[in-house]
Amino acid sequence: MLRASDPRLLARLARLELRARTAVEGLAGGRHRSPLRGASSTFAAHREYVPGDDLRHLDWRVMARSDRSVVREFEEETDLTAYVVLDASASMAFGSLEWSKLAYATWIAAAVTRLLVIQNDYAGLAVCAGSALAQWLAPHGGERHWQHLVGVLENLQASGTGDAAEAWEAAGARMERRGLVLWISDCLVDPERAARAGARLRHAGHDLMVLRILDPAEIEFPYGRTTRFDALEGLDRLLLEPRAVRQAYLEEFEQHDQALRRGLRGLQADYRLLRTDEALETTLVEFLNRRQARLRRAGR
Amino acid sequence: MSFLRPEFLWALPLAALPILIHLLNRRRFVRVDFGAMEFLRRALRRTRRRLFLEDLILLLLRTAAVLALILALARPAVDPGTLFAGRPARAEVLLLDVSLSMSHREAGSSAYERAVHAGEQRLEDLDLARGDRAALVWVGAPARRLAYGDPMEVRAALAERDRPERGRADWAGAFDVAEKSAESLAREGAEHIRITLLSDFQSSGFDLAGGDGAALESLAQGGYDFDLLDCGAQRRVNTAVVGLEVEPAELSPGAYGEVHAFFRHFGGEPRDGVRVSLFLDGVPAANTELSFAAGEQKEWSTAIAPAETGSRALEVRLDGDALGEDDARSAILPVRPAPRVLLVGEPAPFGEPANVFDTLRRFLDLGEGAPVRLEAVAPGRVDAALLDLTDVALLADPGPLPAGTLAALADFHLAGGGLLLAACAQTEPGDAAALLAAVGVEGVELDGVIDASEPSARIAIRDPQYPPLSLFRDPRWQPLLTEVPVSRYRLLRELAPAGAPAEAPLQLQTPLVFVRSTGESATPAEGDPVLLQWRGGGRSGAVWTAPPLPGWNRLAELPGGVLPLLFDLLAHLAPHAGHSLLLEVGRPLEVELARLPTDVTVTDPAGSTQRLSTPAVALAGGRARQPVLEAAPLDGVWTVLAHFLDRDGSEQVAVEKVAVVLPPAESDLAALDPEKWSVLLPGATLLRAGDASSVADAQPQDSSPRDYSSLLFALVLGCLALETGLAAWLDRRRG
Repeated sequence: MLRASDPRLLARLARLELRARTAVEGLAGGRHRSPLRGASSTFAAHREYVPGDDLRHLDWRVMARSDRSVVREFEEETDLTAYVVLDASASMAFGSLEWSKLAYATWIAAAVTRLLVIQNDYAGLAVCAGSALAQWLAPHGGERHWQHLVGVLENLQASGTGDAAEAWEAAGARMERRGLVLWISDCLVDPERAARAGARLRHAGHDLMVLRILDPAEIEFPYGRTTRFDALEGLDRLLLEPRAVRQAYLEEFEQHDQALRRGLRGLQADYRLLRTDEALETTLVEFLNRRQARLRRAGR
Repeated sequence: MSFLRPEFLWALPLAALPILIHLLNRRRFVRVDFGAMEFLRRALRRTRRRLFLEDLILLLLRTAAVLALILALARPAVDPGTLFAGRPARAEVLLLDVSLSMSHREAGSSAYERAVHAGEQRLEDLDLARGDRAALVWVGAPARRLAYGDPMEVRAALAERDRPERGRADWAGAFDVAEKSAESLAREGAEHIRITLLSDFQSSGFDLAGGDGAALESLAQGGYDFDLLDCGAQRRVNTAVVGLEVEPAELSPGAYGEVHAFFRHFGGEPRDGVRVSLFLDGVPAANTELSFAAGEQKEWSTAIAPAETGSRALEVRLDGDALGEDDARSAILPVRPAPRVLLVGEPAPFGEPANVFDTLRRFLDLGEGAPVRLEAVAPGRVDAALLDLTDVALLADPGPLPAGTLAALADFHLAGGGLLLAACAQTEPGDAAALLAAVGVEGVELDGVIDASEPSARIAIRDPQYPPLSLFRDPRWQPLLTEVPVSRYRLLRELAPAGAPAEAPLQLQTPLVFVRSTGESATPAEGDPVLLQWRGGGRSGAVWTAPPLPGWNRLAELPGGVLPLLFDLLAHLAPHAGHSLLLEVGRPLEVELARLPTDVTVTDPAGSTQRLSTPAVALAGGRARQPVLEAAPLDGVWTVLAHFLDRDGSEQVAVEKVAVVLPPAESDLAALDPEKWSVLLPGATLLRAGDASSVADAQPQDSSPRDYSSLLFALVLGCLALETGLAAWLDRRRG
């Protein structure tokens, strides 16, 4: 049975809004600890414990008195600002599955912004096309803003070449309020440039979370027959025997990934590599955890 | 290096197959739009050199496997002595027997074809680049060198000719040519010279005790290696036509002649039911069936009476056998109308006894259908117009002849007309001398009268083979001529030629003589000439001193054999072809014509005609000799058609036929006793063509080529195993 956030299920849904809602709603009944309520400090009400609830929220006193298992719920009262920086450069058009990296990225962006709106946060969107900042939606809250944002995401086309780190820096310059920055990209950039762009964000007081979206074929390089690889960015063409270079490719990939991780780890940024055949659920949970951490640091 | 199956070398371009497949594979690929190109570029930069080397090694192994397979199939034979080091230059002198007997077939191939094949094998290993040379001697008649120098060119010359000749093998000439060739090859640096005889070693083809042996002995002194490669058949059985004759040699229309065909069966097995046919101008005339015991010779005779005049072609054929060329033989039978004889003389005055003219006219004037057509004329009325219609002028015991008659007779005779001087009582020596001088005959002298009444004389035969005497070769008829009593006769002498010989000396012949005793001491060799004939320059004539004359001899009363002798003698003296009607293959072919021709064509036995460009040579009396061929190459009937202008300017056509026959000795296929070779060539070995040993054993020990195909097959397997192993290891490593 497919989970609600399984990309194979999401791919079958017609609209991005529906995809985002489906992914987000799926979090509530999941096996994971629910992140949607109870993360703030204002008490709201008790409710019956259901498996999967955070044991830290069990109200031990009520249990002692009434022998009932109840958990405490808190009201959300936050004005967290989150910026989703989405890479829509030409390389994001690649996809060995039925969906491309860009499609997967928009699903995540839509779901994440949905979470933010649900929890009364502000969500902004920056779309990068190669080295250029193609679109900028300033952070706002509310359902209408989210609808607008989803509309933008739904119409995105992969285009543009160049170093995405330049666009990230341009987007960083537009961020007036400190908050949580979420880079969604395949990160096929120079690790040093990426670290430099991240460092500027950190210096500006932002938290940084990087979601690296990669197709399984880019990670495993499963090609067998003689293949001509045409560059999605640029005009390069390489005719080669894939099995002959596979090992070297994987090593190059690993080196690049390690360099990227090292650079971001130094900035205390979160880095997660996402395969496009992977369910969105874990990612969304991790995002919410990161949001909580940000709120804790802010003293709320 | 050479190849035993060189036809496989055509597949060499297939060695490029792996490269082509590699290139084609590069054209068949999957296209992928890819994002992470930078990783790919770096990966390729890191691996390019290694991948190129791996691919190159695989490609080389595959190409080497295909190449080695093709070479293995072509079966390379390499002289191990020359593989790693040079060897001395070698030379091969091939003597190829192209005599008729080499046409004999057995098991689908002729001795000649086997000889050519063996010769090609001999030349296979020679390499011009190493200084090797070769020579090919064509052992026909005459022998000649066909090719010399580059072994490939010699091989091409060998393969160019697909059949032997029809004549004999001139081995003496061939050994001379081979000796000169070997000496040249030695001068050009050949250190090892081998002389190979490719022949059926037919016993009748070699005269080892004579000229052939002497020439071979001279050749053997050069110290060369000799190989005798017997290409002849295992079973040497052959039936041949060895002769064809007609008696008489010339016929008048409708007259009967007898054809004698001679056959011989060579070989140790009898042969039955051999069908024999006789053809006259290509039309079947008679046939029979013969059986032969081993080695038997047979004669078949049949009568023939051709009606049409002309040179008639006779051919006798028998059922074909393994040597088909000698199963037929031709001959030419001239069929001429009865000769026109002009009897020149005066009848005896009324009341006197008949003279020679009278008796000859009585004898010869037999009317229509007689063997001669006679016209009598007085000496004073003889002129050129009359002589133009005459074949033979018969002078009946003439006295002194008028100058005009002498001149006309001289022209007539020099132009080929026959002349018979019947000298008896009236012809004085001076008269005869004047006539003979006028017609250009020297060495014949008429003298006085011999009284032979005591003891009585008679005519004797000195030369039984003289054609007009053919009737009297039979002992039953001989007395008709030789036992007629003679009482007186004119003495006739044949003089030794004085001074320088004439340009075209006449041949003198005395077939009949008078002997004056019946005792043992009187032999024809000692007798006085009765008949003295001269021949040459296309003309013939005779003086006859025994014409029938009452009171001299009793020939007029008892004519006996005189009449047939006269008929045959007049026919014999009539103009005949001045050339031989029978010729052996390889001999010069020429014909004699009555006039210089304006145009001449020749048709060979196969029916192809060509115009002759060689001019005819003028002879005395306006006659001409036309050379046709330096050596007649084909047996059968050759026809020469000559156009010329007659005295009156009209165009005349003369048809001359010559039968060319095969040398009968070539039909005897019996092989020469090897012992005879060993005397002249002690070191030579007699090998059989077609046996594996004929090639392998004959190679010099230090240079026998080895077949390296098995080594190459092993190399193919090695390459394939290595390629498979390497490809599997690379597959594993590349995942």
